[in-house]
Amino acid sequence: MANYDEWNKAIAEYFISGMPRGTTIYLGVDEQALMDIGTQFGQSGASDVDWVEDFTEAVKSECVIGSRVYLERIANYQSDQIPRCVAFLAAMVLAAHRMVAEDTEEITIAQINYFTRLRQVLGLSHEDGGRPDGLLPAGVEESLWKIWEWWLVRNGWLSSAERGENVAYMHINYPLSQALLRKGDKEVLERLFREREKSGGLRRVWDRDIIGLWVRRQQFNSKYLTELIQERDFRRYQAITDAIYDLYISIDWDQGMTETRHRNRSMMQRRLTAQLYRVEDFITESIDYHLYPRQQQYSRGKMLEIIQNGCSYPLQEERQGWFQPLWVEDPAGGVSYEVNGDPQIKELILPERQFWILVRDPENETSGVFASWGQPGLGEKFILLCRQEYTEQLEIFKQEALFEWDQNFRINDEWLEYRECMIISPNWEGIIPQCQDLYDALKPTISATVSLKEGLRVPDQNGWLEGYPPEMTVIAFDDSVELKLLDASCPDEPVMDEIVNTNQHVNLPALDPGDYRLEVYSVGELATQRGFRILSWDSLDCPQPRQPFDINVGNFALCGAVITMKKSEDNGEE
Amino acid sequence: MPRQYVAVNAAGNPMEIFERIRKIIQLQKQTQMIPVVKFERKLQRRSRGQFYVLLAVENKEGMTLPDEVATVLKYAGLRGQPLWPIDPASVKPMTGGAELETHSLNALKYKPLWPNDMGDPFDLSDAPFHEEDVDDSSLGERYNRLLNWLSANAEGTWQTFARVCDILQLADNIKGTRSIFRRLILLGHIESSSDGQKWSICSTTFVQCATEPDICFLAGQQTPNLIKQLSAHWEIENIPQPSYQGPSCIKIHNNLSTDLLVDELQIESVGVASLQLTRLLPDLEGWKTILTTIDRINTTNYNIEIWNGNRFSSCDTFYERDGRYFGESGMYRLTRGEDRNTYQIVLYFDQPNQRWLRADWYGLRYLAYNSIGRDFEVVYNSGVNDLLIPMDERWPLLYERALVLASGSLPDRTDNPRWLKYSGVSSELVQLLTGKLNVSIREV
Repeated sequence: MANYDEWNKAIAEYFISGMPRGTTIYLGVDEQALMDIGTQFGQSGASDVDWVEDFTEAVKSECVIGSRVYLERIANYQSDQIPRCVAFLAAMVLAAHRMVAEDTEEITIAQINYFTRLRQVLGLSHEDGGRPDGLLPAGVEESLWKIWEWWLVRNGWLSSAERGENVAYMHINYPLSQALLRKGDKEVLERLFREREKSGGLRRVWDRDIIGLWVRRQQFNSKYLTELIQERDFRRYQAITDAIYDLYISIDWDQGMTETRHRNRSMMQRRLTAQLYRVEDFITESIDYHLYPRQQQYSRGKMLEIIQNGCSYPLQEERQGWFQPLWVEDPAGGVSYEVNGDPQIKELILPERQFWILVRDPENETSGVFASWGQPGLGEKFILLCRQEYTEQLEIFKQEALFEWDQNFRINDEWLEYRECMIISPNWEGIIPQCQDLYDALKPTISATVSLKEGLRVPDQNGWLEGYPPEMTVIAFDDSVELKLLDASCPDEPVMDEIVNTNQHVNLPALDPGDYRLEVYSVGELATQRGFRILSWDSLDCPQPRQPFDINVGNFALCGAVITMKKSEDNGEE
Repeated sequence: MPRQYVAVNAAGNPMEIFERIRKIIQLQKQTQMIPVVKFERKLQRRSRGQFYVLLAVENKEGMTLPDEVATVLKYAGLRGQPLWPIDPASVKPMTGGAELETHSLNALKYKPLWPNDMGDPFDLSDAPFHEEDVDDSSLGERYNRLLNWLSANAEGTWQTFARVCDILQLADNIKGTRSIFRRLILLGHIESSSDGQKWSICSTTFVQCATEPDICFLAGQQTPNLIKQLSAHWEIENIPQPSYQGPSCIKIHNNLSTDLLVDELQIESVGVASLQLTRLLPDLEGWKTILTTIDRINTTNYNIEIWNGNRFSSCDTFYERDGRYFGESGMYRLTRGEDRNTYQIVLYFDQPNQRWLRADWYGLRYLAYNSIGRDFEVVYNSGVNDLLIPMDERWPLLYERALVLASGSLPDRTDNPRWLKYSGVSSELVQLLTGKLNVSIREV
């Protein structure tokens, strides 16, 4: 139905679409993701297609001849510069998903048997066991993971796939690190959500963070699921929270679980979620919070409309991961709107919230706009918009030198803005919170942040122009960290590898146009990383503004040197 | 184990004691265990200069005071009997409600950024040239970079624009940045949103010179790659702006093949834009009627100043009563707030129509002068197509744009600093524009 290159491109796009730049990407391929992707090929009469089988057949046809795997054929790029190895790596992750589905106590044995699962996916005899021909010597496929990693960096994201720490895990950790919630875990969680919703212990319009924290307070029989939800790695923690929230918002509460499960998984209900986009009018001093819908993997390329009071509003992309802000909303949230344009996507939710964390625009910190673009990094100032009830808790955080702000501003009788908030201390463990939700949201989960500021930045390309690179600072609670700067053209020889002082500007060497990655290590462990590009002036192109301005002068409009006559009301002529 | 405090009586200089404690804690690498030190504030201290020093302790061991903490107290010279454990909520009552100074030992430094000083979004007045810049060709190159960057970004906020001007070392203050913004609008490169908060790039166009029909210049989006493509087809001349105060004017000397422009390069050719614009522009009264008004302004919140011909001076006679404003027509400066939160805006008050009008700074000043019946005059040399306009009667931005689009060049300074010289302005253009702006022409 779809050939290898079609699958390759579709999988790459599926896992990056809707993901804001800077996000860590997980190539979390499982059966459901393949069904989702497969249905988007949009072929007529394809409703009964087993897309998982179609995928594995496509991979086999491209990468396997007889009993041997051929990686040489996929070590290049498609015409649109997507690496051709993505579908093969996806097959490796599918095998990892199938392997971790075995919730055994002898997890080590299961991990050793990873290649048995991979052989099954690739249609190779599993009697031989171990690495198939063509995947020897061990780690020969690592170069493909590196190609994927640097392609992500080049486009503004980060890869989560990495080597294991010991010999047994060294190479199979790449696919294993991508596997998150299994099919069985999803069923356990869905059953729990439904039970608690019925008993009033869970609401249908909760936010991602609240759902994530709620799940982490539950008890599960499964060892794998218990370990998964207690994940300590911040990036993986975020990805698991996303997966849990994705499951939560896909539940059709009006249908039973059995009915849902019996339906084709690819026809699962989906919801879009919105956050807040804050705009301040400096003349009237008014502050408005606009509905700011997030893109999702399954909203890619669809012409969606939101219905409000009988009027429809098209969803247009504002930036990678986000649609254009819509109308003004009450920050209390807990509202939903009908969505047209895709049978799977029924509604858009603005989750119910007691507080919002609004950060400066990561693409343009001086724009004056704040929105829910993500968790603030260390040292980053943000607005905390919260209900009055949190005042006392915030005062305690301040007294205990955990949290600081510059001023607070009353929005109305219920809501307050704390401006220029910053988390200043890592020592939150000893505090007994009055407001657990706020405590969990503010307590730092990262030990370092790479701040890239100034320089001439080219938005949407994660890049700075040649001759005007960013100023780099590592923000951390530790006094010093190890900093590595890697060049994509020669990743094994760091451009820079030294111990640097934190919280002060670090001079980067002169950099030629190319793709770079900064890695920060604290006590020998990777604390954070960030990719960026240096672009040549010759590479600049001329995109059209999304919101072009002109001057309205009565019967004509002027834009630069271009005059456009307005249509006459009488005869419709220009 | 939750955070607890240990309190010790101390006397002496609190900052010296704190420094001793800080050094010992850092030397012993105990900032995780003792993250915070608090002192009673000076005015509240008890008798004979005594006060409590409180150390926050993150203790996982149990109810006894950890040895590490006892060591810190000992080496810091705090020999009093430690009071331990005190939970955070009991700290204040224990000190009799005294104000406490808090010092964190492993915290990030905090410095607020709020708010961004963005100045008056409509103060598009020109900044004086720096004499040292007059022959600085690298300045012109940096302006070219600015236009390249704006072209590649296509749109943005005023703050972004200001930041880039700063990085390219084109302006060292808000006023200088506004001036650059104005010049790029005059050249037809960018447009501003009606509230002055955002900008967008104009599409690339070829504009015919008003007095040299065989020559065109480029307005709008320009990148090095585009210029390279153009040079493959035409002979290109790169003319610096007067005193390098803007991006170079890219001129093309041959007749243009319109088909190629539109089809291959996606560039529109718009003809003599200056003349077309001039013919369509309203007169001064007509312009006033289409200006944006601000109708929610509460003048009681502002300090009000009026333009007296040379500067803004305090205006005590303006007031608002029963929803009506009382004061003469003119250009006003309204200021609200104090210190970091100051906000300022310049507006024209149209007394008969009770409207506050928003426009560029020179436009508002022109309206103010017009309202008191000033006689405007320009000097025109039809032999060389130069038009001289007095600096202090500079035209509204929209009308000045018609002059700049005649040649693609910004006005130049003359030997007499009172005048601005616009080149390549045709006689027809001068006649039409002066007629609309109530200006008399002196021919030389």
